[in-house]
Amino acid sequence: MTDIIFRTAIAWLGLTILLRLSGRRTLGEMSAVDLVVLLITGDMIQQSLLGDDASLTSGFVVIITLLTLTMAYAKAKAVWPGAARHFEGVPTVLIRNGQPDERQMANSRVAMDEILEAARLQGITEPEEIRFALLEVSGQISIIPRAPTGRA
Amino acid sequence: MASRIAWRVMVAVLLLAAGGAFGDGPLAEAEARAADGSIRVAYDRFQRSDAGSTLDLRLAGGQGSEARFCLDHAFGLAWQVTLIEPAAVREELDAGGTCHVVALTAAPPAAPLIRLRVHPRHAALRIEGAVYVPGGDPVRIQALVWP
Repeated sequence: MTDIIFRTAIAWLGLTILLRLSGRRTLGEMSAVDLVVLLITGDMIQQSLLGDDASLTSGFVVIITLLTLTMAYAKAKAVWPGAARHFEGVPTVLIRNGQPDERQMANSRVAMDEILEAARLQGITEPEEIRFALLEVSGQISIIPRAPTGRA
Repeated sequence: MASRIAWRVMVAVLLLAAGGAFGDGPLAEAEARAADGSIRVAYDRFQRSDAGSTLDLRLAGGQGSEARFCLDHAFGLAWQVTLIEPAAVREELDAGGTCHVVALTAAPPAAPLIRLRVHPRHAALRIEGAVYVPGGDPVRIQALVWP
């Protein structure tokens, strides 16, 4: 059973690192291609975790291992926030006061269409109306609108 | 509070699993031997259905070029044998069960080791069966099988 726990922990760590390296947008909004990759990845990992062991007990041990690792990670983030920021990164500013930051958008592989799509969900149609567009560490795009100008 | 308890329970389950409470670990290791010393069996007292487990049989010396061991009928109902190492060259029916004959190397060791890979047929609080050599006392083995 120890090998199942170790394999699960290594798979969790490896997949977490790979997903981080693949960029935040993979986590935030999955395209059809991302979905296919994740589905196949899950299937391949399942084979290597359990092999020919089809018992319910082993399945639960894998799930409990994953939950424990996730809870331990959350606890570690609370205790060492600096280390977590180092690993997960910080939000990236994509638009500041209506001005797109082309370099950050290219680095983050975020297109203007995706920012505008997130903006439209908040009823914003023009980039000039955006105060900040941020790529969160979760991969989601947050839109902070400019404060409405008061009437004279 | 509930999540703290759940976390402790999960850690305890993982420690038990690593220790072998669900098989494959020190807590699961068991050994039984025949009263006349003809055979010794190392096996897991905790096993999982739909997962393999290993039985190591040590036969007493003086087997010649072949070794025989038998599994009683109860064993056949409780476990499915998927692999025998070294491979059995033939099987013989015995009044008490099925006997397997394996070929030993040219210079057989003092106590030849025969390894069986078995699958419990179902989950149960207790399954049992016996292993014996023809004419010898049986070794009864029991296991708890997790689902």
